[in-house]
Amino acid sequence: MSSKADKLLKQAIKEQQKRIRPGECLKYVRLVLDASLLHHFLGQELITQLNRSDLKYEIRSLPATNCIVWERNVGQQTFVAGSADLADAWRMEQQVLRLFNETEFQRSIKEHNLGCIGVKLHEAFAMPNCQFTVVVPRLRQSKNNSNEANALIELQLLQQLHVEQLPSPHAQELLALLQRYTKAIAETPYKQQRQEILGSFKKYLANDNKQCVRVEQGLGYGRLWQQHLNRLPMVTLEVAESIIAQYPCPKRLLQHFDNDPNAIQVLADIKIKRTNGPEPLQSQRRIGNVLSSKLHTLYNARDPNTLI
Amino acid sequence: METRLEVRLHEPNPLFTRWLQSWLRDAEEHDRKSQHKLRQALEALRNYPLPLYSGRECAVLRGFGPTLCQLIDDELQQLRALEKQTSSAATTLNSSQYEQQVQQVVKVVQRKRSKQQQKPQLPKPKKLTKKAQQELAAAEERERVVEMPPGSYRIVLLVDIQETSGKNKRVLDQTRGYLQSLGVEHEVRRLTIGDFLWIACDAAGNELVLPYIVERKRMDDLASSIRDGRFHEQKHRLRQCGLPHIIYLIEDYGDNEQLGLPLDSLQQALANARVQCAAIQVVRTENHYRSMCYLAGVGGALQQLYVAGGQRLRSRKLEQDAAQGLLKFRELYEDSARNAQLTVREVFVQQLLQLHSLSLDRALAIVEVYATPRLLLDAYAACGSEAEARLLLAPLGCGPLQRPLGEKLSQCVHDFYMLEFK
Repeated sequence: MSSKADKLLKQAIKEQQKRIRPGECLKYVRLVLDASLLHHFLGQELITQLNRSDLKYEIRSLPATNCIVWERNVGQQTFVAGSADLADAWRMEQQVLRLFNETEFQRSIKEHNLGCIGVKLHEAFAMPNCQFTVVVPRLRQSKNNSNEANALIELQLLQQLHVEQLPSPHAQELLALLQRYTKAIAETPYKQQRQEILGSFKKYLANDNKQCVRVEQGLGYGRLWQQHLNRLPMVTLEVAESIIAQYPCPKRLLQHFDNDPNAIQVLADIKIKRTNGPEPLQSQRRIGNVLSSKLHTLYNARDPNTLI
Repeated sequence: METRLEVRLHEPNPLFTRWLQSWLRDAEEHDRKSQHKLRQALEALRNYPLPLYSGRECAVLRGFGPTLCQLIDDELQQLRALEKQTSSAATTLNSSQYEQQVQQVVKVVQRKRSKQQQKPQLPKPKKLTKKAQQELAAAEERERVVEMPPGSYRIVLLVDIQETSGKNKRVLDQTRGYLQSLGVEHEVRRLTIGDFLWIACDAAGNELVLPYIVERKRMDDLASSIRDGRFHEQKHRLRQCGLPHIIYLIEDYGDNEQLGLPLDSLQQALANARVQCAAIQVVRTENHYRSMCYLAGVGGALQQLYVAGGQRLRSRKLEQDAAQGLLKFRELYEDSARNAQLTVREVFVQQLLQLHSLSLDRALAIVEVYATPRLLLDAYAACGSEAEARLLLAPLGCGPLQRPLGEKLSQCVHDFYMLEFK
């Protein structure tokens, strides 16, 4: 009984993983344009461009005018009202774009209405953690533009709105913007999955496998041991080599820690070979107590949260 | 004569700590998603010096979301109900008990002092070493809560010295020149994270960091940092630094041709950063001067928001939630330094990743069960035979699909740690 449930669960996870995989995920996301955009100055051209592109879209009446949102096909189905059919369930994503044309935006600044933009959007789309982006044509950079520039800063800082300035040609740039956003939104669940894990570590762990060591039939362990030692911030190439000269494999170092009551001191006193230049300072010639203790901690601690 | 006593609880929240520990263990065993937040919450709780009396109070700490706080309150309720039934002496924490304990400590100290006064004066106890004194002073400074009432502080832009003179001194002069011409009060300093920060300084020299951090990138810098992987590492560090609003200030490089990567890729990377992380804002500017204008504008807005707005500022510790106050500059600086202290777990994961075909998913699967090298070695020692030990890691499930680690990797890891080689 439980194995059947397990199997179903595994299947569901597999399906879900496939849906969020970069590349695949784009198939399950579509744009939703508010009907008022048809009358927007960019509206018709945008629709033409959209039709030529790969993006899937729908036109509906959204809770606010001149907005664009995204929906994801989550693989569930719902009943269609008034029939016996099932339809795909689409869940709205947490991003909303609000398009402004230049005159509308200028008017908002003049009438000091900017403060309302954020409020109105939050009221219209009451979803928690929703991110709103205001899309305006790129301001002509002139001496008098400080009003507009400050207006945009206000929107960002005080109302937590994102701002995108569209260079011309506006319709094409808007399409490119929508393509980028759609891709970014489609991949969000995948990235969030990764972030949950990576984010719980202070250090960024996903970067480190550029020089990973291939081990074939027992060859390569030496190089692997050296790279293990290099993971400690204080260990340079020379330091690592000096340690390896004394302890060519982890087992030897571990034995040293286990058997020698004075292990840390002995390790600390190992001389570093091949330091460049003339007689180095006394303090740099040894491995040192600090590094030695760190090595001891690393290989003996049972509490993973111990600081090194 | 009066003496000031600083009373610090050795373990201020033993009950909650134990509950969190057992929930964390449970989550780790079943590999639930909640384990990551639980670990964060546990660390924050361990670092917090004051006793907390309810789940709701825990909300000030990082990692404690509403569900976790509710869980704690539920457990507390159950515990209290149980105690009522058995009508045993109340073992729950309450503030009067804390008061009592503090009074007890005071009494002990008073008794000691009266004894000392009766005895002939012993020679002075050995002074703390300079290092220990410094450490004590630093620890006290970290704990001290800083308050800045409205009107007592001014806002200063901090400019990272490497941001300005990294390439050459001409760049530094240019940045400073532009800022000066815009009338921006700024200071050049070494920052361990970010290129620009705003701090509130008061007359006493306290410095609190306003919750915005700016990373300036010219398009060619952006391209090269994406290619060598620095971009993602930097993004991670920015997210970890504790400031809730990250601003990527992206500056055009001429007409953005010949950047080393297609312009489209860069724009996608920026869109990804913006969309996939709510804390990140992306701002595009045309040139260096416009970038400085932007900073001046933000500074002005902050001046409006905080100074003209009469905001009272309060400091917080890193592990507390951002809504509780502002970070001290010192703490941000020390915590974000690139080589700030690592945990054994982190180093162990990094070491495991050095082996080819041992991916992050697999390394994490191993560390889930054997969180330090010593724990893995203990497990090997507990195996009945070498063959058994070699296959110890093989069945571990990795990644969302729980694919087994496999025999080959399991044997490889075992042989690396357990066999002698040259």
